[in-house]
Amino acid sequence: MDTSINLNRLARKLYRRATHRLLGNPFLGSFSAFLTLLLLIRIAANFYMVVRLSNTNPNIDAVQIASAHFVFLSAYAVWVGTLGSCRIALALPRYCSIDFALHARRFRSMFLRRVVLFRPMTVAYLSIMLLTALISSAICGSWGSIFCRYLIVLLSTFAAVIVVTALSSRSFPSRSELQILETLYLLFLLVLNPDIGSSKGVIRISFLSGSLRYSFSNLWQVGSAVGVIFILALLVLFLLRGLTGVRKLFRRQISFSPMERWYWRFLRIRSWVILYVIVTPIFISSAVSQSTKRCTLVLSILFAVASYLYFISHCENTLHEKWRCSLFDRGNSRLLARTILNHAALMGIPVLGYIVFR
Amino acid sequence: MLSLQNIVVSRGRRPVINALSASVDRGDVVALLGPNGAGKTTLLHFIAGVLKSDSGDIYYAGRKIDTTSTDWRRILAYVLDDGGIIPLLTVEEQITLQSVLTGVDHTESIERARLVIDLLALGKYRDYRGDELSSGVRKRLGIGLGIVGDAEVFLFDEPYSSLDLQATAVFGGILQTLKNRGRIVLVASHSFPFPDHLYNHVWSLSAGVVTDHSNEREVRDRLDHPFPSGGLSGQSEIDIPWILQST
Repeated sequence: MDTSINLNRLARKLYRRATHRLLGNPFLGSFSAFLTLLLLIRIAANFYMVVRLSNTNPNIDAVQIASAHFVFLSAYAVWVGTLGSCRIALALPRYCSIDFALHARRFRSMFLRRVVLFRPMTVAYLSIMLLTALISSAICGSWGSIFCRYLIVLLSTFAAVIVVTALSSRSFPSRSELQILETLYLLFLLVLNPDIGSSKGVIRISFLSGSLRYSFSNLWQVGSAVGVIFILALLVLFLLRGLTGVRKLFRRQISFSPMERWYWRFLRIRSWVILYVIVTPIFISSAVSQSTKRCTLVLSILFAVASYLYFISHCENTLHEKWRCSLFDRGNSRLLARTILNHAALMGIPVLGYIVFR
Repeated sequence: MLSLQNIVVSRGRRPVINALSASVDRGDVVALLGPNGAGKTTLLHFIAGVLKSDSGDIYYAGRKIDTTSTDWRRILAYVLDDGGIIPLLTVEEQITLQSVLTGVDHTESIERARLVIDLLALGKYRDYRGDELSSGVRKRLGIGLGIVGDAEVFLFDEPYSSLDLQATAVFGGILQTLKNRGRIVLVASHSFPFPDHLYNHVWSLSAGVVTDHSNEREVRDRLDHPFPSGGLSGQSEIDIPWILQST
């Protein structure tokens, strides 16, 4: 009896449903979708610029720029694709009823095969990469080197998938952890603006539009750097897990006032983390001017003030609607003081960053 | 006959099941009692092949069993505490999938899914996905996934929690059917809302050791009876066509 056709259909259905971005944390899902859009817009604009400039100015090294973008995109496909596959694989829980059925392994492997083979290199990623390679080739005519890179990236993708699968066999990252890693990576691409290319036989990697540069004289060094990046990503994952544990411990041991609980529930720590991730590279970079840094600090302070005012107005409205009382009634000042202190402490970090790195 | 001999199962370094020996025959329904942490789920996990034992063997029909083998999966059905459902598949898809994975052909699987859905009153939820179901409906679906195949050994972990009266009565009928047709059934729970004559054995787990109280009246009387006298006492058999009389 051949049941493969129907199992395939169900595996396909499960796969399609699991690919939906918003299945995990909706905030992270929509945020990473937004970041992906920004990334694609930036890459498209850069390409347009490269093509136009190379037509008018023969001194522009179009191959170099196009290759950098190609690797840039490939790295995006490798990382986001791999994380996405892990997220989708979670659609089949570790132990469920089917695991006690006769052909359970067959269905599980059918589903995982679909995830591993289709997800990291979806049609979209493949098209983007192929298009990049074709444009680069059309500009400079160097098919060989471009497709060689293409092959390397394909192989490294599968290597990354195998590594992630092997590492996650004991302790599988949760769906939101994977989404956080995906979002951090997109922020890394957008904020740090990494670039890679070779010049006179030396591979160079730069960050923050060239203000931080590193050179690698051979492939082993590049491999080591990639390994370090991978380890750093895993460290981020473990750090996230650690922080979750610390937060739980913190919540158990420290008593919050009702207003503070409301504050932490309403203004979540992640909005601050996003702010820090955005402003830190600007403060650190030597390529960014003082006036831009000052503007960034002012915008951060505005964010802090606006978010606190938003919180206060939300509390005031809710209290008025439900209990006909006001937040500013006599006796509430002590409750409010702790939330103001919390907010000021969180705001102190960017201010400190500005003072240290200006 | 299913026989467990000197089973020791540990969670981490702590032995949860300690030199457990017990046996059941065809047509036996075992009520497995025990407080939280006594090792009821651990024992079921071991029988189902999720956990390995440190020592001891399990025998079925006189043959030593490898609990992770295909042969064992062919005759085993395990209903997990949380129903063991797949969150992104619909009720109908899950039951059909489970049936297909037990080796039933597609057409027959669709028919079985229809019958199980009717039996457990899941018709309203046919197109609901697993993550859209309440805990009671999940539990009903879990039971449905357990009985959709023609197993010989059935393990139910906390089947009564979250079930409403009607579903509990239906489950009683299912147990009666399995008993009458010569299946081996282990039910781990804190409460047993059916008359004690449904259970041939009453095992209590304490400190990793099982004690058979089957002949002790006072223990049998401790089985809960939350229903009015006679409410569920006359559990009649429910017809599940694919579960045939054991030979």
